[in-house]
Formats: sequence, C-alpha cells, structure tokens
Amino acid sequence: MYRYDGFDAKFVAERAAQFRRQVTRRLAGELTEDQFRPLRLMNGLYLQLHAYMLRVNVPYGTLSSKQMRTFAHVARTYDKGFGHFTTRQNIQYNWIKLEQAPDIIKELANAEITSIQSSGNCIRNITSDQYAGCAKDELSDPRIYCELLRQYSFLHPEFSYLPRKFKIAVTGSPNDRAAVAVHDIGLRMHRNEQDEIGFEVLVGGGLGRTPYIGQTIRNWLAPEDLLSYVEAILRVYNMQGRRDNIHKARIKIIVNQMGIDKYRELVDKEWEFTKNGALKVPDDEIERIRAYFAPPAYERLQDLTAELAVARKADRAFDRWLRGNVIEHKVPGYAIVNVSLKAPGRVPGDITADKMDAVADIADKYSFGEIRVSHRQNLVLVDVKQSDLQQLWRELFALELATPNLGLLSDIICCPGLDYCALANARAIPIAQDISHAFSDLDELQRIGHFTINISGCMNACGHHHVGHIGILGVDKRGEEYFQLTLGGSSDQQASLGDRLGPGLPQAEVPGAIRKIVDTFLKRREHEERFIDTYRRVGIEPFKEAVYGSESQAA
Amino acid sequence: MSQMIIANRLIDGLVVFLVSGGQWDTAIAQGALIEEDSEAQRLLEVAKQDQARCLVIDPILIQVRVENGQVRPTEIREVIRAFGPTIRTDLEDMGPAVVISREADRRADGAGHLRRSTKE
Repeated sequence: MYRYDGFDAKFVAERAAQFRRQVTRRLAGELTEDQFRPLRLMNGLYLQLHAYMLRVNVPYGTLSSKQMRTFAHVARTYDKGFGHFTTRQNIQYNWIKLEQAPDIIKELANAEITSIQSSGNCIRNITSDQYAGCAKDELSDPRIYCELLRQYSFLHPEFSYLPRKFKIAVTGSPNDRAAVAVHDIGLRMHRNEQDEIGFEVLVGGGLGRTPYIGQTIRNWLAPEDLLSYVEAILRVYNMQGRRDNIHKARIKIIVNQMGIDKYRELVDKEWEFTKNGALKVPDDEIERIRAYFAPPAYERLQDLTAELAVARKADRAFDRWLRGNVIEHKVPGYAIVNVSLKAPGRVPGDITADKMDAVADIADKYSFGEIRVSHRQNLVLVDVKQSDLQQLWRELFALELATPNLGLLSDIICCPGLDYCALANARAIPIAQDISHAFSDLDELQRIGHFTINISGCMNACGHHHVGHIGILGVDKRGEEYFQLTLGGSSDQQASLGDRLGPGLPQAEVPGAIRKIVDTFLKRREHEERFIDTYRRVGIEPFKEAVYGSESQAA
Repeated sequence: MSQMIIANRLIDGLVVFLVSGGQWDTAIAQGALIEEDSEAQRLLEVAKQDQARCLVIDPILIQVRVENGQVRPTEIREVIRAFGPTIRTDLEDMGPAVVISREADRRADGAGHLRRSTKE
C-alpha cells in the first residue's frame, strides 16, 4: 500500500489544523455560510437533510486494517455507529457535527486518510478495479498509475477550480470492473505486440442528467506520457468547459458538442508543448511507486481444488458462498473473497462500526491486513489462502457478511436518496430494501444469474442507474415519489446506457415490476444467458408489455 | 394550511424548528404553528437574523398540517427532515443494525413518527 512520506504527513496535518481554525471562525460568527461553504466542501463536509455529511477518500478503494479501524472509531465516536461505502469507493458519515469535524479530520490524518478533494470542482478520488494486483485476468497493477495520478492531481493549483468535478478511473484488466467508460477520463490498460503496457484513453463518459459512454480519444498511450496527456485533456477542458451552466459544465458535454475528433485535435495540439517536458514519467518513478504495491509475502502453495471440493460437497452453504463470492487469484493457493454488504433488507453499502472492526481483524488474520472497497459498495479481502476459506466463511457468516449474492439481483447499488441527501427527489434505500427482501431466495437468485440493479434518488445518478441492467431513478411528480425504470444498462467493457421502459411507477409497484421483468427474462432466456444478453437479443418490448400490459404498446 | 419555520442548526446540522418564544427546538411538536402570511414573513425575518447570528442555516417556511393532534409537514422531503430517515428496519432480517432515528436527538413527543414503514 502507499504510505505517506514526510511531505504528505506534514501537509495533511497542516491542512487539518487550518480547517480547525476555519471552523472556529465560523462558529464564532466571523464567517458567513456563503464564505464558509467552499472551505468545508474542500474538506469533504456537506450539509445534508439531517446533519453534516463527511465524505472520506479511499484512494482507488484500497484500505489497511488500521485505516478501517479508524473508520470504525470515527463512526462510533462521532456518528451514529455506522458508515456508508459509496459508488466512488469512498466512505460517507451521515451524522457529523460541525464542531467535531476538525477532530475527525485530524484523527483521519493520523491514519493517512483525507477528505480533501472528495468534493468541489477538482479531480476527485481516482477509482479502480477492487481486485487490482490480484486478479488473474489483470495485465498489470492499475494502482501504480492511480497513485501517480493521485500525487499529480492532489491540490494541483491549475485544476482546483475546473468548470465542474472530474473523475478518473483506471482498469488493468480487460474485464472492466471499474466502470471506466462512464468516467470523465477512463484508462483501459492494454498490452502491445512488444509486450509493453499502455493505455487506451476514453474521455467524456459520465452519468447524471446527460449520460454518455466515454469515447476513445487515444488508442495507445505509453505510461511515461500518462501525466502529460491527462494534463492536456484537463487543460483543454479547463479552457473550453462551460462555467455558465452547471448542467452543461462536465467534460462530456464539451466532448460531445464539438465531437471527439475536434477534442482530440485540441488535446494533441496542447500536448505538443508538454509531451517531452517535466511531466514525462521516468521508469524509476514508476518503479518507486510500484514498490509501495509490492505483492505481500505469498507462500508457495498449490490450488486446493480437490480439498475444497470435499468441503463444498459436505456443506451446501459454503459451496454456494464459494461459487458466488470467491474469485480466482493470480497466485496459486490463494483466493479473492468478496464481503457482501447486501444482506437481504439491509441498506446497500452500510456497515456498523463493530463490523468494520471485525473486518479489520479478519483482514489481519487472513489477508495481509488489507481491505478493498468496490464501486458496487461491497468490501473485498484480496489475498486469502484457500486453506483458510472455510474458517473465514464461518466468521463472515456469523457477522452477516457472507450473503452469497455477488453480482446477483440483490447485490444492488443504491445512493443515500431522499432519506439523507439534500439533492434527492425520492428515496432510494427503501426501494433497495424492498427488492432485496422480495428476492432473498438464494436458489432463485442463482437461477436468475448475473443481474445488476442500480438505484438513484435523483438524476445526478450517484446510484449509476443508467448502467444497471435494471436502472431505477426516483423522480418527484407533483410532490409524490415515482420511479422510472430503465433496462439494458451496463458499465463493463461493453458499457451501454439503459433504455427507458415507460412511465414512472409508485414505490409500492416497483418490486412487482421487477418480478415481471425477471419472469419475462426467464421465459425468453436461451441456454444460460445473462439478463443483459437476453435483453440485447429480444429488445425492450416484451418487458414493456409485461410491466404495463399490452395497451402500453399503443401509448 | 399552517406554516412553520425549519432550518439546520449551525453547530451540528440538526433540523430545528422555530418556536414561539424565538428559540429553536429539534422537535416539530414544539415548533410555532403560523396561520397568517404576514406573521410568517415576520417570523422568517426573525429566523434570518438568527442565520446572520450564526445560529442556524437556511431557514425556510414549510407547509404543515395537524393530524390527530400531531404536526406533520405536507412535503415528503420535510417529513423526512422532521422525523428522520425512513430506513425499513422491519425488513432487516437480522434485526436493526443501528439506530437510525432522531430518537436521541429529540424529546419523546416526536417519537411516534420515528419509524415509518410506508410510503407517504
């Protein structure tokens, strides 16, 4: 893992002290809310419906057990005993008191964690594949480049007041688990014929009010050019992006208005000046950062296929969990374990302080003290010995963290919605709870297969509804909450935006509509097709008819 | 339809209601019911002075109605602000993980509405 050097530690400590002085001045009446708001937002502190909310960065979703214990401590000491992992691999606390915020930020700084740049029109937390460094299908570890970009973009003066926020995601695997196509910049690693690593660069992806899939601006970018090229993209955006209309301020708008060819031309022109300058990344700098992400001291082991088969046969629940939540590791004898935060009826992404501590202990015991956060709001233990799997499963099961639903219908992405968020139009969490409760039969979930449901409480799309196989968007219709369904979205390497199914439904009708969509899928499915494959083959009409009846065809 | 003034308290962000003595209270039951528009505007000015004095943030007028002796905002957003999140603890198979209510933040007279489980 990356560890702070002397500069990082000093800077973050100074920043915490600075924020304390700002809060003191606000509480003393020396700053108005208008003056103070930008200062608190620069430290990730929002004011939501019920209290202040603090958003804390988990850089590219990687945490140490010590940091997880700090999260638990903050939840227990300063909040109501829980935290919420978000679709940007961060954690949010919902019940923060302004007067205590400086203490929290100081405690986080002591554990090498910050909330800086978790808000505002700057480069936000760089996100990545939650299995980075361990996945069998990975070409190279994306965290090295995430960290390079993090250091480059941290309080970069030129990019601290962009037209709007800016999100970068990196995948080192052809199977995209980081949703790079729906980011302002998506970096997709490839290997060329000379066996060198490079990046395909996507630009202009994003969700929100005007969703777009990112377009390839460059097929191949050598790692040494990563910073200069990203800077050229940012610089063109900083100059061309709209500051007159918040709804048209993201890079996706400008890229799609002028067209990718024109945008590429402007970037290339800018890049000419900087390409061979100070931002060229020397190999030894990449190697310096790579050393922070050196693999842990793996033992020389064999895969335990036969032994695990015996254990699986003897215990159906263990078998189900192993098939569902455990992923192949690149090192023989090890496995990647997904920790589900999606037990039936639970709030997706929420976890109590006690469970955070328990996960930290488990990570120390079984996974070299490291924990990952996925953008689908689950946790991951990436380096578990296969010989420990059964015991680990028992411990997770006792904590209700072993629901074997990874990638299944009840593994729902859900934003905080109107239960917490000042921007929301409708509640998202009760819908997620209703659906996961209605689909809690594990046999049925496995029969349905891979299925994503993403729920947002407003069109800002923090719940990524556009790219859910089923997307659910909460809207306000004359003071009532309604929910619009979209079908066919996907955020993987074949990213697509969902198609609107029809008029919004009241909350009570949503689980029933999901049931009808699933039943229609099962009737139309060929072989072992995933829902998304069936949808792409048969189109939206059968689902429309199932939910709205045949008269909807004419409407 | 009556009105009431709602805001967030600066120091902790909690939702507060303007009470008739000019103080703020976390319980909607304590909030001053305002019947006349002129009175509403006068009290909103009082509230804005409290904003200038750094006591509260964003005071606004909301519509409320009294049902069975209990005050309730008419808009769902303000109902949630008044009574807390509507997380379905009844659906959590293993029992409530955390207390996500405003129980600890308010007096008992507001507690009747804390755990709503149905849509407004």
